[in-house]
Amino acid sequence: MKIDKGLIGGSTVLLVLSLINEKDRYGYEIIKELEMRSEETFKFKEGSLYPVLHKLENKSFVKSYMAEGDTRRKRKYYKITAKGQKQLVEEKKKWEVFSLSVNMVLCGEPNAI
Amino acid sequence: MQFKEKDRFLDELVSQVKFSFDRADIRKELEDHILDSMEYYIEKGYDEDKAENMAVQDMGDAREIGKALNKEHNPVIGWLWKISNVLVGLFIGASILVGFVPMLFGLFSVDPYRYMEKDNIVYEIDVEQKVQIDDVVIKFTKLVYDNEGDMNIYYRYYDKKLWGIGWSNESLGEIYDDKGNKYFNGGGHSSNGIISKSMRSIRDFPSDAMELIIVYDGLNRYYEVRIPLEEGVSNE
Repeated sequence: MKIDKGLIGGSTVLLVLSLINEKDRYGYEIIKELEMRSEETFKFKEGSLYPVLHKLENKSFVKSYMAEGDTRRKRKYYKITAKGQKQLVEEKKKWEVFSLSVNMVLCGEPNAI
Repeated sequence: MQFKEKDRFLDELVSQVKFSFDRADIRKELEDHILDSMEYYIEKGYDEDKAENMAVQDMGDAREIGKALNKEHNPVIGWLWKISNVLVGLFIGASILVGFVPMLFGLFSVDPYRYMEKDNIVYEIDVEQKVQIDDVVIKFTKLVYDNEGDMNIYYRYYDKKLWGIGWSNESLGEIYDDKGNKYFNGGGHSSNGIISKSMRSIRDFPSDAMELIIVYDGLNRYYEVRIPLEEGVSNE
């Protein structure tokens, strides 16, 4: 099943930040990891990752640097910052509230919490 | 490389980014992505053309992504960032700045020499001496001796590596005259640019000195510049 891009839209920051939080990663790696872990549910237009990454960098949630890594090519890696880690906690909370709320609507239990 | 489809994609994408300084980096980053993706498809058994085609298809719409990237590479912020870097560079040089006015001149990257009152000049000498420390080339262009006893040394420098920071003009070297006097006092200013124009002035320089000597000796780098002076030539 493929989910349309609008639906992932809101949670892109959460997904990308949490992958970078595990270890420093470059763009292509992030795409592959997203695809693999979601069993190809998240297969969106790959190029659209970069505006997200650059936005995260502008907001100082991540920092980038050039490195060779385990491959031959020099690539732009992203590393999470302390500010980014705080934001990640924040995003996770938001996601929990959001998914709980969706479930509450679906299950019709107004006092689920 | 002959990957036309990839290049077309990147050209179109990058053309949407107004802040031209960031284009090369963006292009390189997305190109790496496409090359990785092509490798993946080639490993899966596709031929090069097909792999390129699929990799580019996976990227999405070049215009759309370019526009989104353009938002993150705002030219106003980009230029402010660049300008503030230059300002910081100028500020670091504050220890040799005489005052605010030369700094303003520096901002507009004007040759400091133009602001010398002709009436104040006792003598001036055109110099053409070039030295190099690491990747920085320093060219001495002019000496102007003024009626307050200041010897003003004009020079330009540039880094052969475009954004190198191997050397700063604060350490022009030790300055002597042929009588063995060493000079510490003085000021100067510079305007930063790809070729920086700078001036260093030395106070209380004797009018009858025959030679100006600049010696740089530090961290295994050495140069010596000797500039003969027109002793006692006056325009009065």
